[in-house]
Amino acid sequence: MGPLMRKRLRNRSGQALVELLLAFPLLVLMAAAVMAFGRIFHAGLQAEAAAHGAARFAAETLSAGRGVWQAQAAAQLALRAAGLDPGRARVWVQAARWGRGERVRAQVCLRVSVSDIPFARWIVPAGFVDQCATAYREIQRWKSQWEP
Amino acid sequence: MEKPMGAVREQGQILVWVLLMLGVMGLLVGMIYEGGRMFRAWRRLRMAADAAAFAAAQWVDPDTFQASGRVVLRWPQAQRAAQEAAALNAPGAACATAYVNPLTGKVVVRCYGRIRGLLLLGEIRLAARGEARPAFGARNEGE
Repeated sequence: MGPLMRKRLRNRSGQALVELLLAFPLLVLMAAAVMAFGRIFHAGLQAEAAAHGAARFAAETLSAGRGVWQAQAAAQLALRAAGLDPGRARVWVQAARWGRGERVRAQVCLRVSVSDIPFARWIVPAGFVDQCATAYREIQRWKSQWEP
Repeated sequence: MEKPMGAVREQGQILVWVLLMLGVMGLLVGMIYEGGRMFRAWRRLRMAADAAAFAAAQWVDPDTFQASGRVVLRWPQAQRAAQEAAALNAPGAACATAYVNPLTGKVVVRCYGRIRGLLLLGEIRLAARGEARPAFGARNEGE
């Protein structure tokens, strides 16, 4: 190796640029991962809260139709309050038999889109993740069938 | 040209820094993930404790209430209902004895769960408290 070449190799101007170019994609990817993870985590928490709210309100009536309606309304309200779109959520409410002391099951599934986050598709190729949560409650034992 | 006295070789310094910072960032990401997992588990346990308290609150003894006005739980049934509700809503959760708080009149249940840490934390015990108003009213239609 000639002395000129050796001198050029030792020249450190531009080193920072090369390092930045190497580190930048990694940083962008990490930022995208943090954003996507945060959004998915938040949606997961809210899906759980919505499922519990749904089960709680479903358990407050002895009428199956009213119970399902109350549960869906409670889930949608919880999701809207958390800044999420209830239109992306699916709510299932069921009980083997709707009556005093019977168990009601509420499930909320929320589709979380991360396709608008740059490079998030590298981490989540589908561009969305489904977050589901299930909650159970016993239907009130002391409830009258009379409804206002 | 010879190096002046005291000069330090700087080659490879950046690599050491990058590796160090990557390690620190990895640790930070791990801690955030771990914290999130624990928070989620605790929140799930708290909701399970609420469901357990709600289930236990259905087992008020109506005869004692009618005779003395005191709210007393039918213990075995209340306890069983609380355990079932907690275990369904947070698998692995267990609840201590359900009782009626004499100050608030509410049924209180304390539930416990465990979560295994991914970092050097080992197994962590979580606790949550659930409360519900005692429920009584019509046992049969027309009552």
